[in-house]
Amino acid sequence: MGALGNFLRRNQPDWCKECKRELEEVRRQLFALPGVSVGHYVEHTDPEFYQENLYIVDQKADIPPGMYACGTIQYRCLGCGKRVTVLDPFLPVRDQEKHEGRVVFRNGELDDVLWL
Amino acid sequence: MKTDQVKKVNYGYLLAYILMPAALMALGLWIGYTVYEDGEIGAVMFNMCSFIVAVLLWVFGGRIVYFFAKKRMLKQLDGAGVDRRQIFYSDGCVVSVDARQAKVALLFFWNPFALYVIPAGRVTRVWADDGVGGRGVLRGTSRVSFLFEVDGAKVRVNTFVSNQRWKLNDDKVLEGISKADLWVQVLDQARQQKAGV
Repeated sequence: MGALGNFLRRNQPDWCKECKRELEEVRRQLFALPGVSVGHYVEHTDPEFYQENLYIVDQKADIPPGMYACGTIQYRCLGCGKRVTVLDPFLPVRDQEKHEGRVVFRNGELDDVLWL
Repeated sequence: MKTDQVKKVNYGYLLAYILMPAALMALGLWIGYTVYEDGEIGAVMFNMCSFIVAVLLWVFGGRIVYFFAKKRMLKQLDGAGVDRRQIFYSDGCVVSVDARQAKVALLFFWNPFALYVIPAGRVTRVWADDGVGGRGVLRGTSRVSFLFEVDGAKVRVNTFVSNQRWKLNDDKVLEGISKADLWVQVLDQARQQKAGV
C-alpha cells in the first residue's frame, strides 16, 4: 500500500500507526448493555462503564426489545503485538440495527474484562 | 383517579375547547361594536385582542392543559403508591405501567381531567404498528405506534410521528419501532403477571 493509503488509513481502528500495517482480527464477541435502553443512549469513552455494564450473549435474539447491544472486536498487531479493542454499541431493532458510533480502546483497557 | 370504563375523549371538554375561544372572540367583537360605536382604539383592541387570544387558545390551550395534567398525574400516582418508573409520554396519551402491582395508568390529551389507573388484566390485546406504506423507493412510514385494547376501546400511543415519510431503516424510525416493541413487551408482561402466568 502506498503512502496515500497509509495516510487515509491512519485513523482506522484496524491499523497500527507505529508499524503502519493492518491489524489482525483476533476475536469477536457480542455483549448486551442492560443499563442502556432505547432513547437513553449516551456515548461513554471511559472503560469503567463497559467493565461494569457489558454482559456476554450468544446471539442478537437473546437481547430483549429496547435494550442496547455492543459488538466487540479485538485486533492484534503482528509487528509490535499491540492489542486494540473496538466497541460498536447498537440498538437491535427486529432485523435491523441502529449504530451509535464506534468506541476504540488502543491501550488494552478492556482486555482483562472482555477477553478472559 | 378513576378505575371505571376508560374514555379517551371527554366530549364536554372537546366542545368547550372549540366553543369557548369562539365565544370569547364573539364577546370581544360585541364589546368592540357596542361600547366603542365610533370605532376608537378600544374597538380595535377588543376586536383584535379577542381574535388573537382565541387563536392562541385553539393552538396552545390544549397543550397547556395537557402539560399541567401530566404534572398532576405524577403527583397523583406518587400519592397512590403507584410505581411510575415505566412511563411513556406521547402526543395523545401518557401510559405508565406498575409491573409489581400489575397496574396501568392512562391519561389522554382529550380527557385530561381523568387519570385512569386500571388493573393490567383489563388490557386485552397489545401490538405494535410500524405504519409502513408505499412501494419501491417510496416505501416508508410517517407514524410508528403501539396499540392496546382496554375496555373494548383501541388506544394508540405514537412513538414516532412525522409529516414526511421516512425509510424504515432511518434511525428515527428504528428508535420508534424499538420503543413500540419495548412497550408491547412491558404491557404484555404486566398482563401476564395479572393473569398469574
